[in-house]
Amino acid sequence: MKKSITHVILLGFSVVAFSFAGCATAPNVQYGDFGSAKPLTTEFGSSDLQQIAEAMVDSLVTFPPVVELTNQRRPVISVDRVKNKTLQHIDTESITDSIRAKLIKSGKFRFIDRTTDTALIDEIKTQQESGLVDKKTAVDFGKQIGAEFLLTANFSEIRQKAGSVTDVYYKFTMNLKNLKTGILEWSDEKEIRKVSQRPLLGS
Amino acid sequence: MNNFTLRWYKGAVIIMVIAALFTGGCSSTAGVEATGKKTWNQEGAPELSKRIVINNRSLASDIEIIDMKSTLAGDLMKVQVAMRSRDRDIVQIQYKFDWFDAEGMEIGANQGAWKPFLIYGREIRTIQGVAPDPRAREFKLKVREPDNT
Repeated sequence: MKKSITHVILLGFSVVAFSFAGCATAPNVQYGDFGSAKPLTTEFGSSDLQQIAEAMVDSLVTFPPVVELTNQRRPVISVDRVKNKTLQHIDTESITDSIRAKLIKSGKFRFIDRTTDTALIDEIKTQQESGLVDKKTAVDFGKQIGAEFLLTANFSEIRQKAGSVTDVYYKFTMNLKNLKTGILEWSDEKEIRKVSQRPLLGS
Repeated sequence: MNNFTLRWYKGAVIIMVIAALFTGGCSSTAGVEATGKKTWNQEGAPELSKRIVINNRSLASDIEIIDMKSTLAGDLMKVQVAMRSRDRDIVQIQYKFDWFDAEGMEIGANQGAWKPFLIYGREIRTIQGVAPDPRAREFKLKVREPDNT
């Protein structure tokens, strides 16, 4: 009888040891991968932002009329705010920031940024009027290059829920508008679908 | 050893094997890599020298890389890799492109993000990538199973 009890205890310990040996126990806090594409919820996530930015940039720089245009020179683009038509609070400026950074790095475009204009006007005013700056190196008003194109975008979602399944479809549409002629020279959209299913047991 | 103890040991082995099966196999992030380098052959015509490295046999049994093509969009390298699913059900994967210049230096090192992709049963689908700038001469497509850790 004693022998079988020892055997049971040994068996119990070995099973417990095996179940812990499979996966190393991770610390509570650690650095993750910024490029990870693991969806946590159906809400808009970092991976969706990265997918949208890459898809829009790839499409714009390989569009044949744009390729022809950028072969000769680097057009100047201004970025408009994204129209967020979803029900979520999304920082859409970070999407356009990513797109703008990638387009600048491609070397095909030049950008102007209206959001830092107050600081710019203050600086030029100081250079012109304060008397501190050498007139030869001071920057004049009225010498900036005007934008030729405007990058506009719409972001919408279609949400469906049936029982334990939630299905969210996102669509990001971006256009390149010629400011002189008003024509949309390029337009493309990126669609993302995220599906979540509540498990049968647990939360 | 009497019969009773022998049965206990058999049961213990079975339980340990089942426990090991459940916990020993955390999902693998090793994947498959396809490299293509733009070279010029003796006649001066452009060629793509291709190489495929398989680090995950179970993924390689689900999907197969069947073709790699590259072209130029303006002066940007544009790459297309065709993959076929050997599975009958949907195969979920993630992919990422790495780009290298003529000297083999990575362009935009550690800046890309993994993108999700799915292939339906026995379907052939293409993955396309565009280089971030005109310096790119070589690409590496990394494919892996979704990281569910």
